[in-house]
Amino acid sequence: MKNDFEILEHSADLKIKIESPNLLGLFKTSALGMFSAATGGKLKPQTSNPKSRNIEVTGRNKEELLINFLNELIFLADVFKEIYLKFKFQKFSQKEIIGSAFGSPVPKKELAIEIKAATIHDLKIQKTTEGFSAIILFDI
Amino acid sequence: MKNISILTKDLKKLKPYLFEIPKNFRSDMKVPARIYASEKMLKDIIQDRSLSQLVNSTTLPGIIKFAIAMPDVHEGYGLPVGGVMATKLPDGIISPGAVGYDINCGVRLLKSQISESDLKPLLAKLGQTLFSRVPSGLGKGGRLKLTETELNQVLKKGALWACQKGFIPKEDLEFLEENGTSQAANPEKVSQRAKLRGLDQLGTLGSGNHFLEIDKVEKIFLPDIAEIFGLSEDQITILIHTGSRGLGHQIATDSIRIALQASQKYQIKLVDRELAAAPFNSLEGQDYFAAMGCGLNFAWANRSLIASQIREIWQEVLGGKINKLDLEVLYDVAHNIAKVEEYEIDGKKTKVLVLRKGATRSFGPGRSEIPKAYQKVGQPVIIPGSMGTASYVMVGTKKAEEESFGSSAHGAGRTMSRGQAKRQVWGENLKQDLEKQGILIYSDSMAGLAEEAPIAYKSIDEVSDITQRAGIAHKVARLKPLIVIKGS
Repeated sequence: MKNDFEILEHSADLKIKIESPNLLGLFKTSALGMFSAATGGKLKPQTSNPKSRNIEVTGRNKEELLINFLNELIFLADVFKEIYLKFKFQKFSQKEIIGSAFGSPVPKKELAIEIKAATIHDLKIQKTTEGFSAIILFDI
Repeated sequence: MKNISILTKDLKKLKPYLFEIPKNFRSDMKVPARIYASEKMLKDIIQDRSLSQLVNSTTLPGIIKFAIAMPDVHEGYGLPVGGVMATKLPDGIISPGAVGYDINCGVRLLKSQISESDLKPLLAKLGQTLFSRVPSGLGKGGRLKLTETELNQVLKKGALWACQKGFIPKEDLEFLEENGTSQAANPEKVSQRAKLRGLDQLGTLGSGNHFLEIDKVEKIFLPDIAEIFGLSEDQITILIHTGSRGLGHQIATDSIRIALQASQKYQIKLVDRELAAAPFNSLEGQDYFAAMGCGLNFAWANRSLIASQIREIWQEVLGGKINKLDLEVLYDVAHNIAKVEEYEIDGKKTKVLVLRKGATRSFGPGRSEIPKAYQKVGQPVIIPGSMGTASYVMVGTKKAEEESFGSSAHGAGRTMSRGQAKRQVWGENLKQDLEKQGILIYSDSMAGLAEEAPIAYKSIDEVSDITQRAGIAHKVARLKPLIVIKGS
């Protein structure tokens, strides 16, 4: 299994399926999928001098941690007008993330949709012999 | 989430346009679930998970009578979009997921003193000026950058703040639901994150299905009520559809996270975690209500600032060429809201908490909550259709108060994914097709336009027909768009 995301059909919201050989990869790929959808699939290489934004997120379980992580990125993206594709985690467990997200500014014309939030609706991070997968529903 | 498919055989027909999923359909239902729809519409509704989500909401503690889906219902999360429920006070639950992330997404309708023929020579200039000056779309800031102190005033006062600052006349306030101010709002209950997001977003439309529209009154159905509403055929009206922007979204995100913990604390069994809840009279419940009140107020202030910009531009473009340039508010309605309202239940006047997620209040005659000018007939119910189709001004009814917790539909409801819409519709072609019909479309994004194509939505004519036949609102006027400005 490699890191991958796929945008699924949904009548009103944004639904993304994420796969990764490991949990850390699942989190990073979820962010990639989310920002790819936000930019209409037109992700560009990050700026050579990305801004570092602190990330400190907790959750009672890995599903809540994932949603809280994505919602933290949505908050940062809205305030700083950036997207985040590169991360450095000092701590990553099933209940806590401490690290940095590296942001590239996004011109307004390159944003295709406005993601309001990542929801925990029906979210279950599945573990198989090959890795991890999840389907995340975003309100847009 | 419990995701049991619902088939037409599971639905009991109570009246021609009212169906019920009985309480015994699933063992954890506390009340039945009701749906306003035609039989034809039901066949589409059961294709997605909206009814399953409605059934999930019937499991919440304190829910009374029934959960309700409006004819424009579609799948969401938590309560479906187009869903209404009520819980008993003081300890029935309040759930942020039964209100939605865009707190007080809603519409404000302004009415002009001019007709289509007056405006025709200036239509393109008006459209272009509105598009270039009314902030819309992603990443675009508003015309104001507030300090936190000023933002706290907005959160506390809502439209009243906009009035005190001179953006709107005080005459507007009476014609906004709740007079444009939630008295429950407490800015101390709003996180720093939410405030940071709100600082530069006041006065912006946002994207997706948010829009600004110039319409004409195409048809009057109830002339006496239209006269009271100040509507006449060919009259130009202006529709603003937007909500609480990033501030409201963050309040909802923060609140759902707290509600998940509260659900565990108060031993509320959740069949969908997006229905996370707390008793209304708990600390968590009251904190959410106070924070939601701030979201409501931000949205009312937001629509007020946009109305102010429109009035400026109206004067600028039309001034010197047309007399009578006043734009008055017909009404402003919220689609995503939780409110304490009084209804007669089992013969007794009872206050309940009504949660509307993609539904509009629809009060009939005699309610003190609606403007004095409308109390003899009922409140305006404004139902925008999909882009380029039509919108309706309806009037609320006593029947809505009796049957649907004073609620009716809010729009057309999506039936098709954005991806599918983009595969079937080319934005540029859609723009040209609509222009041939006399509708000028302004949008930053052709892809965004395609996503909002009429084929992606239910028919607004059908939704309003069923609403009318069910008796929960009556048609007063049909509006035809002339200019549509999309957030993109």
